[in-house]
Amino acid sequence: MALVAALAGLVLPAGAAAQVPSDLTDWNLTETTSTWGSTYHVSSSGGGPVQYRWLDTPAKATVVSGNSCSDLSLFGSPATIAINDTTYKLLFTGYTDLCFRLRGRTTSGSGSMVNHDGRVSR
Amino acid sequence: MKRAFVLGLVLVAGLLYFAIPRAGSATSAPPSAASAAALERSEALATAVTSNRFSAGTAVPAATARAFADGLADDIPLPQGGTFDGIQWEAAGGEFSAAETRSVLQYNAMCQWVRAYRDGRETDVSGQILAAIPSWSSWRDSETAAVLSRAIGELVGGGGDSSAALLTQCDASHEREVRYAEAQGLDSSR
Repeated sequence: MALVAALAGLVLPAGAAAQVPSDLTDWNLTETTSTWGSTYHVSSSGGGPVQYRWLDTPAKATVVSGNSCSDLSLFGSPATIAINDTTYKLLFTGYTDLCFRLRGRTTSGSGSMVNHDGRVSR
Repeated sequence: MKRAFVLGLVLVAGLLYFAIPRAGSATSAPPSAASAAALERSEALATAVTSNRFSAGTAVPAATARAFADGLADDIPLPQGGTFDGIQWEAAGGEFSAAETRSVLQYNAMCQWVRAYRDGRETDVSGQILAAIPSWSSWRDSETAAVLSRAIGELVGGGGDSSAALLTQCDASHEREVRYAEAQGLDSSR
């Protein structure tokens, strides 16, 4: 048992938290910022970074942000995600249960991007 | 002598009747007209059709979102002195659907009631409104309802980690709202 605990300590840093992923299916974006149809909360197990990535390879450069459920203020900085980039982008760091909305658009002059799936890790 | 004794008993019984507080009456004054109206709106939201899909319906641009929101705000209860003027429609930019607008207004109102309860304001109805908030139409049966139910339960029960996090969130939002409303030349909420 002690050996297992010791090995686990080598793999997982103390206090490591599990991020909770939630998928966004068929998010349609235009050059005008709009909001995904659900609110989210920073999880109790993952309290800290909120990250976003596209699951489908994006055909357009996009801008995604996390905004307050209460007053729409911007949390952190919007992430600009390049064409073909499916890696996680940090949106902001928040405390457990903090409520946020995901807002997004395509970059100016690039047109719309429809039915693309994404994932928020929180 | 016997008649005087009976009269005395009646007198003492009468005095006790008016002197001992009775649950639901002598211990709590009826809510004011404003509080009763707020409670009525809260109960209406708790039974209204859910509207938690933001993408449904026509969207309005940020430049007109404040006026659009004002037209939807009459259905949403606020504590006395409360306003929605600190919501950053213009700064957030883009566009907003009616469902999203209602969701922002309801979440903002929820925060104002949570702060009112914590601060001991409108105690005649704030507890009843807090109890109904997890059922409000913008988040009923969603993750947000579960988070608010836990936090409000803790708040009413004396406090805990979830209620502390909710109060931190609502206090931070209020500070931002006051700054934003003042910068816009509008009234900030209490």
